[in-house]
Formats: sequence, structure tokens, C-alpha cells
Amino acid sequence: MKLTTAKKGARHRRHRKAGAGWLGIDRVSIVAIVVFLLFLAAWEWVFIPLTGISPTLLPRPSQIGPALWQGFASGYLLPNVLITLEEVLVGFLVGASLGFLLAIPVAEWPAVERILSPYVVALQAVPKVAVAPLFVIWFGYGLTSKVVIVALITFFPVFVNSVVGLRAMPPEQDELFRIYRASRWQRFIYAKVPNSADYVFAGLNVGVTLSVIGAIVAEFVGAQEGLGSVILRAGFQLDSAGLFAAVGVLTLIAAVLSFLVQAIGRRVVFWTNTNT
Amino acid sequence: MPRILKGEKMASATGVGRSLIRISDVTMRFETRAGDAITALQGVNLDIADGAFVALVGPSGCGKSTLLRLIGGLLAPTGGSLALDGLEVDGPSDRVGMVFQSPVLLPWRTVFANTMLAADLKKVRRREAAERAQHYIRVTGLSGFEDKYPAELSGGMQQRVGITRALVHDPAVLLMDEPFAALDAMTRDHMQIELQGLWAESGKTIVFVTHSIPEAVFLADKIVVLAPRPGRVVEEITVDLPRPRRLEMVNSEPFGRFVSAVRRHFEHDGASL
Repeated sequence: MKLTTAKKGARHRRHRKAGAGWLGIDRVSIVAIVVFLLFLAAWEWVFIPLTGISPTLLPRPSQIGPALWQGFASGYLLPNVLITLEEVLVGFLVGASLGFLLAIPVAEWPAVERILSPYVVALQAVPKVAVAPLFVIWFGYGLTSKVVIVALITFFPVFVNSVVGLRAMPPEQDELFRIYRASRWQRFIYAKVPNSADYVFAGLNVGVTLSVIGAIVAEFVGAQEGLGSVILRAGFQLDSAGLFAAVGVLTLIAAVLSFLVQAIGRRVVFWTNTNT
Repeated sequence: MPRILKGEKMASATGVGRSLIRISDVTMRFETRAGDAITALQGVNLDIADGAFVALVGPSGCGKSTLLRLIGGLLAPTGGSLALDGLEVDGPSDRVGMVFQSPVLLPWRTVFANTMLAADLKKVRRREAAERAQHYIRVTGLSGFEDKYPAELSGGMQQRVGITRALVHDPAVLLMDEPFAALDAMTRDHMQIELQGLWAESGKTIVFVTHSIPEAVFLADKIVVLAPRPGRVVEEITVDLPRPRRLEMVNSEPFGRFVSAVRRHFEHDGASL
């Protein structure tokens, strides 16, 4: 299953390469924007009037927009956005680095894998969200507990994909490096790491989306600041427009981060669409 | 590396060179996953002269690729011994370069960086390696492609990179494992002519595995015919067609005689050739 994740990521990127690139606007993106506007219009002028749902339950886009504007204009949203962003970025970097670094001994030495794999599997099986309160007890209400949870959630997809990637050196390349009498270190640096890059980025892409979820859950469990607490507060006040605004910002953050990881991945692993 | 003129080369090619590779009574057994023993090679004796172009020919399963890997030190024989320039082969050596059937280029490296792989992995002087790389890039017609990536090249061009890479650490022996098998017929003809030129110019000893009899006759001084089950040498044929050989010669009567001399070994063996 893990291998499928990575491969899917790779194929996905391959498709995106065929598009117009960074911010090039092609016909498909225009259609996508039109579809999104149609969706908002149908929500505003068809669904809400027809069903008569109370705005407390489901606000109209025309209420969410002003709530969003209000939130930023009053200086309420931005500090919270920055706090959540900090938790996500620090946690993601810590978790992803640990995931890759720990993948190295596991991929290189079968013995290490045999010794560590029970713990890894067990740790992976634990629903990280369920132990979030524990981290708040251990590390308090501040940044640390959030970073730990985000790092833990990011760790696994990066770790698992890196292990697969570091073992993905094709046998022909192995023979090539053998004929040159390459040392283990040379083989690692010149072949295994580049071969793994595609898989690592597939893992990073999964990890970055999960890291946003992790930060919000961590904030739900115990925080005074951040978008998670904004959402909780809006919920308590039955301010569904404000809640939707916060969720919208959160979605945007996750989408932009994922886009960035993919864009960086395409630059780093530029050779991925053809294997020789 | 002394530049050898074509005339001198021709002389050595006719068998004057001293023995460089000596294969004595080599046997190679593998065990399959099911636990059956397979004899890939049985009692192989072979002498390869310095500067010679030797082709190993035979149907699939005759052990020709195994023999090549034994010479390269990638495999160890289960019986007998191999010596390269008097020294027993006990692993890959700096004196050997290898070209694989698929070019096995590193897709994240440019053409030039791929050819320079030996300089990254071995204690080779970078400047000398770069000079050799540039020289062979010219000889193999890769000039102007140095900064391209493998994915941007055709199959023939990729294999040229593979050949150049194998020569950059200046090995005495070039082992080639069906290097042109994956190429289309026209590219293949072209590559054979180029390889002949490269061999004459470089003075290397080439051991060339192929399942194509005409390719073997066209390229080699000596054809070693192998038969399968168990893999063994059935005949060594000296090809004394004049050099440089040209494509028109393929249709000539002497060329045809050599082809049939090799082919008759396989006629009872079904259509495996």
C-alpha cells in the first residue's frame, strides 16, 4: 500500500507537468474557476432560498465573504493564521527531517528494520489524534505540543516513502556501481538518494496536508491561539459565517503548502517522467 | 594512452598480441529458487589476446552474459579460474570497463556528468578523466549533447554515453553485454561501424556478447561460439575479413561463409537464433 502511495504521487506529478506550468492560466484553469463561481452562485441563489436553511446552520457565501474581510480587517484573524502556520511549518520540517533520517538506517541495514519495525508499526497504528491530549499534558498549551503532534503526523508518510525510495535503486544501477567498485557511501550519495527523491516528495506531499490537520486537532485539544481555537470559538458563539471563513483560510493554507511541495518536487526531481 | 595507428592495429588484430585474459576450466553453477542446480558454464577455456576484438555468440541460456560477468569480476566462478594480465580476477578491476544492454544512465546527470561517473567513484585524476571524456564524446559523436539529460536522447545516443562512460577511467578491457540489442536495425548498423573505429583508435581489448551472428562476424577477430545446457564453448572461429569492414561486406560471399560457419552449430537447436 505504501508503495502505491508513492507511485501514485509520481504519476500525478507527471500529469501536472503537461500543464502550463507555474501560474500559467490555460483553458482548463478558466473552466475550473467558472465551475467554482457557479458552485458559489448555486449555493447563494438556489440551494439556500430553496431549502430555507437558517443562516446559523449554513451561511451564504455573501455572509462568509464579509466575515472573512471583517476578520482580517479587525486584526483578529492574521495573528492566529500566523500561529497555525508556524506550528505547521516547524512541525512539518521536524517530522519530515526525522522521517527521512530514520529511513536511512532502516533502509540500509535489514537488522535495524527488524529491530525497529514493531515499534514503528505500533506507533503508526496509534491514532495520533487520540493521544493529542497527552502531549498537551506533557508539553503545555504553547507551541511545543502542537509542533510535536504535527511532527508525529508528518513523520510516517515521509518515513515510509523514504524507506521504499531508498531501496528503489534499480538492479542494473547496482551492477554499474559494483563494476566501479563504489563504496557504500558513494552508492548511497550518488544513487540511492537521487533514486529516492521521487518517493520522498510523494511522502512530503501527503505529510504536508496531514500536518495542517494535525495542527488544528492539536489546537482543538488545548490552545488559546491559532485557527483551531478561532474555529472552536466561532462554534461556541454559533457564528457559522466566521467558522466558514476560518475553514476557508485553513483550506487555502493546506492547498498552497501542497502546491509548493509539488512545485519544489517537480524542480528537484525533474527527471521523473522518464527513467533510463 | 598511446595512439595506435590503424595499420599497426590490423597487425595485432590478426593474433600477434600476447594473451591478456586467460580463462581456465571455468565452471559456473547457480541454484534456482526452487533449489535446482543449473550449470550455466561448464569447463570453459579461453584465451583473449591483448587488443583483440572477441565476440561471444550463442542462443539464450548459453552463459555468454555469465561469462562476461565472470571476466568483469561481478561473479565468482564455482570452479576454475580467470586471470587478467596474469592476475587472478577476484572482483571488479579498474582495468575493466563495462557497457550494459540498457545504457543504465543516471537520469539526474547530464551526458557529461554521466560519462564522468568513474571520476566521482574512483581515484582518477579529474582533469585527465575530463580530457578522455571529451575525447570519446567527440569520437562517439556526442559533441553538442554534453549538457543534455539522458531522457532527451535517442536510444542510440544513450548507448554512446554508456560506451563513453566505460572508457573514461581508461580500462584495458571493454566488456560489452549485447549493447546494441535494444537499438533499431539502422542505428545498430551505424553503431557497429562506429565501434569498429573506436576499437581501432583506442587499442582496447573488447569482449562483445551478442546473439546476432552477423554482428559478431562484422565486428570480431575471433568468434567464440557457445552452446546451451550446459553452457560451453563449442568452437572458436578466427574471422580474417579485412579491416576496416564496411556494411557492403555483409552481402559478400566470404562474410556469408563465416555466418554459416557459426550458424551450423545451432541448426539442430531449433529456432532459438
